[in-house]
Amino acid sequence: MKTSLNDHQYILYSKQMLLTDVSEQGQLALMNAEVIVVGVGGLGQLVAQYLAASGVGQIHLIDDDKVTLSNLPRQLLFSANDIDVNKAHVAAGKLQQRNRDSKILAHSVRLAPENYLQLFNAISPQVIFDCSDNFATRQLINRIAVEQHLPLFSAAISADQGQWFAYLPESVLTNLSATNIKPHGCYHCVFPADSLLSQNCSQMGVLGPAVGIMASMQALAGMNHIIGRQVEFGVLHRFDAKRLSWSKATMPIDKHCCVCR
Amino acid sequence: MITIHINGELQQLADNQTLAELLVCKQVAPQSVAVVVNQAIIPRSEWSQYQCQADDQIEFFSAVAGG
Repeated sequence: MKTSLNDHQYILYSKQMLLTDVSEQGQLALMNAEVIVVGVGGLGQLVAQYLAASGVGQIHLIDDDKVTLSNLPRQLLFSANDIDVNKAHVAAGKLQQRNRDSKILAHSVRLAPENYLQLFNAISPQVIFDCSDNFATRQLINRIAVEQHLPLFSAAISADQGQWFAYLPESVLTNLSATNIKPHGCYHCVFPADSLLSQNCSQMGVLGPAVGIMASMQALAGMNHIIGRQVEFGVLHRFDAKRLSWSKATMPIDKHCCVCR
Repeated sequence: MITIHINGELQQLADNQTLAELLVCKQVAPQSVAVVVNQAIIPRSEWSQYQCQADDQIEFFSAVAGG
């Protein structure tokens, strides 16, 4: 566990630490954090860049996909030389080279009900970022967050519609003293597993900056939580990338939810 | 009759109509949407109990899952 910064780190992270409620204590919290990013596509590659550049201590990148030509306009960490190479490996290699204070670990697997326990038995993340690109994986990550007692920062976008939320499992909430965070619903409370999606990511277009906005919100909310700032958990934020407008709604608990109840 | 807002548009509705009935009336498949009433999501399991009130601001929207 890091308890102090060296001279180089003081200068490197000075703009973050100039925020009075971040300071050296918040920077050390980032540097001692271990996080997991599921999906290293449009969302994940940017979330990972922000986390690594801010000094987050350990970042696990999970993705079994390979870089393709059509990824390049929005997945700016990748270049034409990376095509056909695993995204988690490419991202980990590049981020490790740029960010010496972080340990970036690539897991070139598709997170699935059959393999997630093996992974989570080997690592100890304190936060999970859902940057995946399909509904089934989102349901699984939500279940993992509940089971493993992990704060979840989740974002999604298809075409011009973005959604993001932060979720804190009740088991974590009850362990937090002096908190004013109220119990709230999980992803399954909002979208049960049998929900039908009108928009399938692989069939829909999307503009790079729209993905970047969602990833930035997700990364910022996660960093705020690690630093110890108050985060609005249990609120679903929706972004209309055409009108550039936001709306939000609280996520009450579904008393019949088979995941978090 | 009462007046409510659905996705920003004024709509007339019979008294005592539930969210579940409203979705049937609008021909919206229940599994295809989440429903927000006055900035709070109403879980699907409660749609048949929630009776729409005058001036309710109701929104339907789908999950998006891309990334």
